[in-house]
Amino acid sequence: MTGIPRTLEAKLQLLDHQVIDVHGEMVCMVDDLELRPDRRGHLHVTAILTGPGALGPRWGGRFGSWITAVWRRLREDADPVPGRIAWNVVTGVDSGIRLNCARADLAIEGLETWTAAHIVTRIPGAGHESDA
Amino acid sequence: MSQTPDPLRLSDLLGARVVEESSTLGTVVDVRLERISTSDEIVVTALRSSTARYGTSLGYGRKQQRGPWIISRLLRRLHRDDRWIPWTAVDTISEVAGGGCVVTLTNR
Repeated sequence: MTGIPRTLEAKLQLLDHQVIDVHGEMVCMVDDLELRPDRRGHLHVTAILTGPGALGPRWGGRFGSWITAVWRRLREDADPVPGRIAWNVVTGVDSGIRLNCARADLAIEGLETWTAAHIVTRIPGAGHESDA
Repeated sequence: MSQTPDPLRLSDLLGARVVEESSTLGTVVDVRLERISTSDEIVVTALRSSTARYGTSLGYGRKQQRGPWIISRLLRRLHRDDRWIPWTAVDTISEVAGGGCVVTLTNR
């Protein structure tokens, strides 16, 4: 049990780090963080954001806009939101971000999973030889 | 702190221009978070403002970071004017047209 350090530098210690579930399996990467102000003006970290919906706006520019546009086009919901992991399931931060729940319990789709599901599988011949 | 977009993303803060009395001090290159005493909640307590654009992600600003001395010395020199701005000194965070944010500090 690593716990959450008393102080963290967000870019250096959280951004682009791996999120690891309770079984030690990789869930996704930290592509961005959601911050919300409270009534006293303190800014709280409320969630980890992941996937193209978080990465596209972060990259910005033409490439970021293109990634976001492709992600929106391939989503079924009219107003899609990026993958979101509430901060209250985070139990520790070391070289990765540790969660107290399993990957299967999180309805999220990291960039790798999204790319595999929506792009790679649509390329002719992408399936395994045994599937033919 | 009188005005903050809700919700805000960390990437909105990173790269935001830091303005004090109409002059630009630099841009936000990192954000310090602190855990609230007994809970696992974390809040923003400071913004790192820098005039240097590169090198923050390598971690050479931290005392415990080890590595080749020449890179360490170069990056420390590049970031010698960096400063941590306490969250209490931030007055507003406003979104600007075309993306990004501007952090305005309180007048002292």
